[in-house]
Amino acid sequence: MSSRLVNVRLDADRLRKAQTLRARGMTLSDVVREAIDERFAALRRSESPSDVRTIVRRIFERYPDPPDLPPRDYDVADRHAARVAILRKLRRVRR
Amino acid sequence: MILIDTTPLVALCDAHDSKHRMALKHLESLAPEELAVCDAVLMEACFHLPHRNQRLRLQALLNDLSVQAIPITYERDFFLEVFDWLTKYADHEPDWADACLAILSARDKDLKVWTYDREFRTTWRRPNGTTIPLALRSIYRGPQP
Repeated sequence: MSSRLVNVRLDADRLRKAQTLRARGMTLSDVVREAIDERFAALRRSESPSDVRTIVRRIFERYPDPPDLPPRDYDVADRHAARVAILRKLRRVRR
Repeated sequence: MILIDTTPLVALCDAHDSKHRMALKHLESLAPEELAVCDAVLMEACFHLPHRNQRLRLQALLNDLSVQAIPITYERDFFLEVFDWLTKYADHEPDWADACLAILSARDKDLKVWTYDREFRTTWRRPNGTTIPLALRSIYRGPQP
């Protein structure tokens, strides 16, 4: 994966802590990466399963299917059927 | 990080999809993880979700669930590796998105693929021959061949 450099400003107290960590052999970039991963995971955990269902339900309420939308006539998980459908659409567009 | 494939993404955005309810259930279990998607999968998803509101749902889903984009797919080395992989599996007629997922999985060992395509269990491997870690290996077994 490609990465990007992020600069973080530290006050005197945190700078002292960072220097101590580094003196004990810890890599500061790893500390920052782990802290970000932990915070992100905690944020995700705080969103309960019911929140996810609510999110999806609200999306469907906001953007409902129009009543005249025909159902898809193939199974997306069926590799062959999906490919035929895509080719059919491409041919239709070219005409 | 969980890399979402086309099948679950389309299933989530289409309530008429036969796997919609199952995909919702899986989303509940996977949501605590970081979710990501690559552009090849989004392109396939748009083919299967042609209506305006279907695509608005897809956009809202990516936004509301903070699904990350994978920018690496624009690197030259990446797409050359994708072509190598496609050549290797040519007899099985893989799609570009399958190859992208396989190569991304090889490049980041922490990635798991959320897919309902059984080829990820039975056929596709990383370029070095190791299995592609799946997010739902223990949950979804897929239709019997």
